Amino acid sequence: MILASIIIFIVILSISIEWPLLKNKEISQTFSYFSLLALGITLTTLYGLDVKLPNPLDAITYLFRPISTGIFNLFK
Amino acid sequence: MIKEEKINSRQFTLLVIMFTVGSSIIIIPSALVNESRQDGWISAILAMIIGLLLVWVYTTIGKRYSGKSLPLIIEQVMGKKLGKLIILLYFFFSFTLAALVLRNFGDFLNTKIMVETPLEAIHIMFLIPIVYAVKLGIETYSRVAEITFPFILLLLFLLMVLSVPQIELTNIQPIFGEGIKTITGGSLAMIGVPIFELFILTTFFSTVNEPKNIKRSFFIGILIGCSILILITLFTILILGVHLTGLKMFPTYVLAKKISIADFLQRVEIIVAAVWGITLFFKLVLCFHASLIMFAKGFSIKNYRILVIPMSIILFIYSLIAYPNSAYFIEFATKTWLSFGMTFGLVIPLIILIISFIKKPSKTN
Repeated sequence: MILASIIIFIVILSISIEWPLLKNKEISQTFSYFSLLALGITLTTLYGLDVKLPNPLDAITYLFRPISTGIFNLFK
Repeated sequence: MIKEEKINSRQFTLLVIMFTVGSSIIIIPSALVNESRQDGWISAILAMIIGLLLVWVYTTIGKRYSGKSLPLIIEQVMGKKLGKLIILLYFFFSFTLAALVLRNFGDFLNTKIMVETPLEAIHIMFLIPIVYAVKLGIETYSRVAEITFPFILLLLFLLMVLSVPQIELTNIQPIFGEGIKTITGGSLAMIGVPIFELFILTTFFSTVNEPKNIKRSFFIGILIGCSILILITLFTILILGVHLTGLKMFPTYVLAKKISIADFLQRVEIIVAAVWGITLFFKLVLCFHASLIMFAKGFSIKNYRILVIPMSIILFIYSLIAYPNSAYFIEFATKTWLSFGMTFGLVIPLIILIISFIKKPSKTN
């Protein structure tokens, strides 16, 4: 609840700060701004509701762990 | 519309020092000691030499493309489509690093200093100055680096001088006792954590106003930064001994706790926390800034500044879900990070270097 109110506050603050930049006719810029903001709000909501979010580090571990193990074995 | 930002080479050196020392200073001793026991500090020296070699590679790339920043170089070398993909991978790399660094700080404060404060609160409070700094740009925060650097040196000097009475020389003996192979293996711990990450700093090559001085200032930065790390490792081994250093997650903090001059000057461990906080602030700002530049370049967005706040919300969540507990982090940092960092800090730069030798960079761009 507190987290949600903080995030809403941040979002309003952010839009009001960036308004001069958003008013420009840079469509890609405005689009990316709002999509990232939407992603951020979604993630925060899910986090606040204790949904288990996928961890990117698990993917990194899955991909890179074997290589690391190989390197460490070279120096054993 | 976007003002070109410039920093001088001295400020760049300071940023390199902050980047090297930040986040490593407090956790590197235990990682080094766990691998190569009492010779951990020799491993650190070895890592520094490798770091200097790598910096030579990075600065050579920078020089061949006349001091351009990293995303532009990648795009020029790899072509438009592949270049964009690699820039986005670099974005992922530096963004992950930023999240890990932030979580590191949160974990430290949460376990050692502010035990009852929720992690989320610490992260939000620490992110506010970061967002502010990145929004203002590199020129501003490198000036902050100039102001804070003397304090860092002073505090570190104080820490070392005050802990001299506790030194026990038997702790580092026998020197070279574990053999050369263990020492080289142990240096991998330090090569993974600050050294391979240095490639992120090439993003800021274009902001240095004297491109011919980049090489020198980068070298000086690495030398000073790694010397601080070597000295800290040496002191932790000398004072805490191998066993205790290896056990603790934040050995430098424990080292500062040991200081006691005439039963009067005690509990100065917050010195370490202050040094760590300041340097980590710069590391986080640099990583976050670099990742934003990469993101903006990858998706052809003109002004990265507009993305700062939305990205910081995502960074906040990423840092919270990044790892469930410290054991996961230690496992990740010591076992997985090495090859992940190597891909971005060694393999891709080497490919870029080789291609740059084959394909002559065009002078017109």
